[in-house]
Amino acid sequence: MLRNLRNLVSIQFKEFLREPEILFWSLVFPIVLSWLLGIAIGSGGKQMHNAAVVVPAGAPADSVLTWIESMTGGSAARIDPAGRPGAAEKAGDGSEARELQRVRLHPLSRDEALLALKQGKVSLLMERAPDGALKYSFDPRSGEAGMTWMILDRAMAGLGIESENSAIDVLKMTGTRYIDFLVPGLLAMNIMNSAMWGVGWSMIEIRMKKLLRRMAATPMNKLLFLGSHFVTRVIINIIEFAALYIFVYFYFGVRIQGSIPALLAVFIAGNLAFTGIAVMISSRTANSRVGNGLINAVNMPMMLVSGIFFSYHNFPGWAVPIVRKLPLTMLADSMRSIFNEGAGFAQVGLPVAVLTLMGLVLFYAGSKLFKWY
Amino acid sequence: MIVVENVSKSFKDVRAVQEVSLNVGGGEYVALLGPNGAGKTTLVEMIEGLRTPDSGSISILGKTWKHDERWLRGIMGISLQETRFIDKLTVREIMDLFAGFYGRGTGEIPDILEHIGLLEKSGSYSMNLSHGQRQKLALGIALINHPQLLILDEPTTGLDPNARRELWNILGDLRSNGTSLILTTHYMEEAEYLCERIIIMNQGRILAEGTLEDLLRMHGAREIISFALEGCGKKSGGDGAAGADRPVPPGKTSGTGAGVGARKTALPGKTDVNCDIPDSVARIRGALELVRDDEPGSGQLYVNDIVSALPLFLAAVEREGLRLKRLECRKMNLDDLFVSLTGRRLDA
Repeated sequence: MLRNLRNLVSIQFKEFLREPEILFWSLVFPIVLSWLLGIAIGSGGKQMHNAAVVVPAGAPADSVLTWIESMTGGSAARIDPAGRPGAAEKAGDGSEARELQRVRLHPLSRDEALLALKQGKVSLLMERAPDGALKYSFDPRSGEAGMTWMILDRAMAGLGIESENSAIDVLKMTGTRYIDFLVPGLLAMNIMNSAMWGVGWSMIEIRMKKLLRRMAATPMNKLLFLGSHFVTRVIINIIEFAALYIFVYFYFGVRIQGSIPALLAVFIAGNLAFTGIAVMISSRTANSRVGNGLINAVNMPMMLVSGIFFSYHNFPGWAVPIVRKLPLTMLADSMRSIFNEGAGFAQVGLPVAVLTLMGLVLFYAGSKLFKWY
Repeated sequence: MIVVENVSKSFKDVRAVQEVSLNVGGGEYVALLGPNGAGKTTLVEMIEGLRTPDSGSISILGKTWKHDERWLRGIMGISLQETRFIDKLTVREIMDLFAGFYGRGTGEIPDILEHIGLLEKSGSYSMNLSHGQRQKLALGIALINHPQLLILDEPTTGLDPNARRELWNILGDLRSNGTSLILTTHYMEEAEYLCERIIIMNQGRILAEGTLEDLLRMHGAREIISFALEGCGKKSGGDGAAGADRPVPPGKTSGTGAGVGARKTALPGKTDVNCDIPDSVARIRGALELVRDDEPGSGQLYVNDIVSALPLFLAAVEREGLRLKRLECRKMNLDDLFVSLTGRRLDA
């Protein structure tokens, strides 16, 4: 029995070791991913948080710095007025300052602060109430905002400003809540997952079953076959979109504040982009484990860094421009701007064009590389 | 209809098909017969346009895959050696899908399903079909476009005898439509039953082709005395004809009654030293070849004329003081021919 067990383990191990692609996805890819995420989230494991410090109407930004200086006993120099992370991170050597350092404070007007909140650039608004107390405005359902508030509150306590002198204003305005941030991201992620698994995995599976080969042995129009997957995904994603939107519309009061035609254009462009990626990655693969690895290699990093569940603005400054170029980020940001900022074609035209072009190019290249037999 | 000229195909270090040429006429039923690894599937996949030959050419009705793929796909019906359908599609849905690929309506699908005996399963998911039913479905799909050329790659492998016979009947009925058929199989009786021309392949080459009668006439003896002797413990003498003696892996024979394994000895000449069949029995006048079975004292004696050879055989047995446990006289069949050509049984 032991011999059989040893033999069985041995053959499975050999099968694993003799498939270089599986080896890559199983061993090398997780290491690469952890490295990428490690340096992206970075700063030695410290995650940065962003808060807006509201500059009262008519008051200069400097007045806010002065106010913070007075609160922090002269440590305002540690806060970068422009919100540049580098300057803030360099400053400070006391324990209070370190707590404060994990939050970048952005002096912004109230309107700018609300827009930044909708865009996920900040998770919380901090302002001085007329009675002199601190007021934090955020959606308590946002884990990120809650974390930012906790850090700030502790930092302030360390500086002698106790919680009794601060208040929390729960943000209820549509577009500023965490759910408003989350829903467009979820819809974008859904489009990606639907295409990657529904098209990419499905192609790999029917290739493994030799069904693709059987179909290709008929006069079937191959481009039409690939295109049918795009059409199917659009229809399924519309249904999924509608189901989620109807739920959040009635339960959370989420509203699309921008142009519906622009949203449709973003939706189609997103479907096209991810169908193109799916066709490309499934073009040659006939092994389920390799296919699984490939799809995860595309999906996972984007799911983690593209600002679906938390804002990518918390990443180091150098990482943000890279993250913004990812297709899922483009899709999520475009949807978010239409949902929460009332954006139209003018605001989302560029990402729509980029996603469409990306989809068409990858679709074409994938169809040329496609292994039918 | 099909002209294959000097076609070769290799995979890494395996030469799957080596300079094969063949012609198939309109309405002709041709069997490609050979054991696993003979190159049958590779050859038909090249004819089907699913693989590109390394060298040589293939044309079908004067058209080539390079220039006329879509047209060729339209006139051809194929059944691959292995196809799994989408589990949760019904038989009817799968048929509809493929009918669409050929630009065919769905009106005649019930007729096709009835013809292949799957009408009652129209609403069943493919995952719930038996192996035989899936093979029938694959055949049904191959028939959707009323193909001029039907290529079936081992369509009855793994089927029970009844299911196999049913498929044979369906294929037999297609003759009246003028359809050409290329069938790969390793069942002798299937090739014999269905096809007027048989091509025997082994190790990527065509060893012989023709009608069954032609093959039997051209390749060796035509009649066989199959026997089992008792009391022949005495070893025969001589130094053996080692070069002529080819061991045959043991295996079940295919309806020949020839035992489970065989060793071939060319005659005339000396029999091998381990033979327990006396030379006087093996070398009767008119004997061409003795194929020994694994069972001591049993074998098949290939002769030109059984009427004159049988009395001589019986006399020799009696002279040696042996007893016959079994005696069968029959004409040489395809199985015997295959052993004669390759030194191995087809299904071994």
